[in-house]
Amino acid sequence: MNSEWRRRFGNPDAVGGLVTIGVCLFLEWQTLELPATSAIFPQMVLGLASILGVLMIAQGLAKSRAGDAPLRFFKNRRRFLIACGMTGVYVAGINTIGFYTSTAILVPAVSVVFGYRKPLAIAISTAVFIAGMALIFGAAMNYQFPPELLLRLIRGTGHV
Amino acid sequence: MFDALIEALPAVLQTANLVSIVVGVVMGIFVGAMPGLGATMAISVLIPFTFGLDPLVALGMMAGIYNGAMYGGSISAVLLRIPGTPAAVATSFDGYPMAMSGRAGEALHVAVVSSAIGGMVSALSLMLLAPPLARITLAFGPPEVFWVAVFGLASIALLMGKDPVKGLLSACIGLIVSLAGVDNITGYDRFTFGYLELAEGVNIVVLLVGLYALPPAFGLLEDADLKMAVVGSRKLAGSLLSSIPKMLGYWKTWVRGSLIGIFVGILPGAGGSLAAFLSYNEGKRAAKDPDSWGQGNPEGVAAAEVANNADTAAAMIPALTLGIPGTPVAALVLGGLLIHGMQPGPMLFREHPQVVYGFMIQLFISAALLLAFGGTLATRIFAKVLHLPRPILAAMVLSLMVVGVYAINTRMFDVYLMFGFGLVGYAMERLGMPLAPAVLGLILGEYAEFNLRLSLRMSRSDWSILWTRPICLVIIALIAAVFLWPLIGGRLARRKAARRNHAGGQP
Repeated sequence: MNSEWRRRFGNPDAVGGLVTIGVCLFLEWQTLELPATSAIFPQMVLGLASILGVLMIAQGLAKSRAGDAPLRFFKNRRRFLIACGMTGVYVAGINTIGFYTSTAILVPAVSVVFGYRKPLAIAISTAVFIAGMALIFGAAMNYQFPPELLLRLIRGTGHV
Repeated sequence: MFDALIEALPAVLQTANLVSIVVGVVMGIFVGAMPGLGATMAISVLIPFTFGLDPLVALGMMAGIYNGAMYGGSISAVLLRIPGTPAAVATSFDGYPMAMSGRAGEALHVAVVSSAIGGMVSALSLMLLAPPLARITLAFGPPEVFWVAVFGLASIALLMGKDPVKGLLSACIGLIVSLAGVDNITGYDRFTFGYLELAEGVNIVVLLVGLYALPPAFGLLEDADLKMAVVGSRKLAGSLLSSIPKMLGYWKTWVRGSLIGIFVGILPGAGGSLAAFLSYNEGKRAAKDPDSWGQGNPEGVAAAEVANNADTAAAMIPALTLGIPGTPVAALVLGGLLIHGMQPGPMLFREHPQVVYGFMIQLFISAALLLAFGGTLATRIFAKVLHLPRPILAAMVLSLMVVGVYAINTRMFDVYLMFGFGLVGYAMERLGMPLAPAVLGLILGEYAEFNLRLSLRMSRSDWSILWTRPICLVIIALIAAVFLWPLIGGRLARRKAARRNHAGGQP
């Protein structure tokens, strides 16, 4: 029963349709407190999206019934999840230890984790990239990134 | 019309503008050459860096990136048989066999000259066709503009992807995102969920970078291959100038391909890959030796490249005049215009003539510059990019995405939002949903709602104003045609297949 249910509704199209309808219902509920003039266009769009969600589920179920091979959602699930995790840590790192430091960690870490392990090439690529970023965005374009923890510690102004 | 073009010329020829075009062309070739990245990704990542620039300088850079990336796609198509852009698929048919037989240099020379010719002809068509079309569209009132927005969304959603349901759903996603923020008329918050950062709505760059740059970056990491197998990159000998006389015999292919590219470019949702395939097929059909096509015939490279570059500026004709982009890249350029405070549509020609005509000239110049920067030496340098290991390339792209988005408001909220949209974009790609309708939905959402409200105010809430005016009826008929086309096209294809099977079954 469980495997039959998964075969039918585990189709990515059916799941996508269900998620669409769920999100639309949630957003529709958000529009209930709006005055009519503000709500009319969002409700039109959400109504259309809900109908399309139902059609997507129907397409997914029809594909399952026809015995079509289910679409593979991930090219490589393990690699995707690692990429997501590393990106999350990188973004969190920018806020805490600074942009350049995080990037200096990200480039070699991603290289090593995803199988490229030539230390000299990684070191040169990272150094050239960070220097290029600092020159273009820091010096030339004067972009203000979150402060570097390392610099704050060296200057004695860091709060760890 | 030509007065406006001539008046825009001095501004375009200023040093800053020319430098921006050169930088754009070089960056475009560089990014376009990388498989999996391409023109859409190049522009989406690079648009934030044009914020602080003068609008014309920024558009010059975008014009350069656009033309550069369309040509850049051919470098990896020839050397790797991995097209850098979808439009370069047909280039690999003859380009790769040429590289395999030691003629990579010749293939790239043909590609760059054909790309430049296609791009220049396309820019001329934009200069000739866009201004009169813009004058016609000045007759449009709010109800017509509302339907034009619906037509644009419907045509992109229905014609761009394989599945109309998914295309329309993608457009709805963009429309919903466009509604986030404080409603300008009533002052009510819509879909802000209490976040002050969303009060002004979602910046288009956040959506663009997330949708277009994150999925290919993750794609590079998901792929187990560390490097791409380059062939023939060391055999890029001879100068471009010495190769040109040999190519003059391709003039018929160039004319045919340019016309096909312009026609396809004007059609919303068609895109450069269709133009390249059509041109390749027509070229092969007209060739004296069609069997040599696909085996390394340089004319095949010329046919594909001239058409996919002739599509570039032509796609801007509906984009600039009606606000309907013909390709995803044109949608991104529209986003770039919005960032610089210019709403695409007929009024653009009246309110910012110097910028819009200047942009047309910049498209022409950037196409011509391909000859200077896409020659042998440059191509040899760009080909080196292909040796960069995928994980390093992906990490650098992720970092550039952060820089570009963080720079908009110097706040991390936009970066989080961008990665959120990136994951949505990844899911959409994996489900076979086209991304361009979502971008267009964000661009046109506010525009469509504003004109719908204005129409209802004009008619004192009488909805019939939307279907009683003659131009509205014409646009509604066009929308109906766009909706019916997949059904009719599918039925015709089935009938054709059945007839072929029937003929094949007969003894």
